[in-house]
Amino acid sequence: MGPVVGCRVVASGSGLPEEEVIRRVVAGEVDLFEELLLRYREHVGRIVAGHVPREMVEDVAHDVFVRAYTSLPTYSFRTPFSHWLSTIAVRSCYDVWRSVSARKEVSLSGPSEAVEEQQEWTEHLLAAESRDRFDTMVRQRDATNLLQRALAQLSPENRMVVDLVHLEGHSVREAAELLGWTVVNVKVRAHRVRHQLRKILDTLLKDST
Amino acid sequence: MSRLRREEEIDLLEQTLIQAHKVKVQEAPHLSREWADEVMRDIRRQANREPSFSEVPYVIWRAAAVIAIVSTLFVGSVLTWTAGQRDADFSALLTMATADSAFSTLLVGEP
Repeated sequence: MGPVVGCRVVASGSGLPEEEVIRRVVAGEVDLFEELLLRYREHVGRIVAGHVPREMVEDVAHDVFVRAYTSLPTYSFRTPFSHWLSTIAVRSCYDVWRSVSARKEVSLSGPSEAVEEQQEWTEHLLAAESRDRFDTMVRQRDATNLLQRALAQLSPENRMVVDLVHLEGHSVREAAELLGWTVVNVKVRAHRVRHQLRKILDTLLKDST
Repeated sequence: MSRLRREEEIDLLEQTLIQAHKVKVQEAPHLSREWADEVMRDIRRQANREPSFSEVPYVIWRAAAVIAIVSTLFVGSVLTWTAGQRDADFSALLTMATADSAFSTLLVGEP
């Protein structure tokens, strides 16, 4: 959140309340959008980083802000702007995986190389004896890569549900709001995909032993 | 390997992936000022290409006003033309009736 004066959120730069900045951007003062961009870039960056590989974050975040600008007239001020922006960010990430899926780009790197890395990493993990060592390993990029490869085996829809519900800990209702789906749809997917993910992890373990 | 042991390992992997996801979010790349400038350039290009949001209702209202004026002129001219045609038809009918009456008087001799 940005600086707060009384009960009104004030955007940096112009010193105008955020609501006024949004209204002026919609009225045609395009340059004022930069205040919103600078204010929320880290917020959007974190959301996007949770759903797409690191090297894609800048491009997807760029797309999120362009979409936010073009959709700004539809913003109703009923929810906080950050929440509205979050839904655009999550849906942009979903669109990325849909297009990747359409292009049949299941793996982000070569398949044989990926299997070797997976095996090596899971062997290290299972050999880890102390909690400290385990924590250190968690920080390794290998874990992120393995995560990406496990998620790459899921459909774009299931992938987003795993990200939001299982990995980020959002409630089913929150995930449904972010994705613009029904609660029932997300609930059913969340239940099924948990089993699917565990099967994938089981396969990874089999490969490594 | 027992089923229970396998389940424990899967649990461990699952927890690891959750931790890895958290780390990934915490270590999100910094979106630089240059990146922001590039986004703004793109947005300005887009804004120049399309009419601004405030212009859209203005354009709609202006188009609606022009259509209303043209429609009024068209309807007015059609009504005027129709009225003119009705007058002409009535005059022609009256002329024909008068002519018929004069012709019959001529044949019979007396009215």
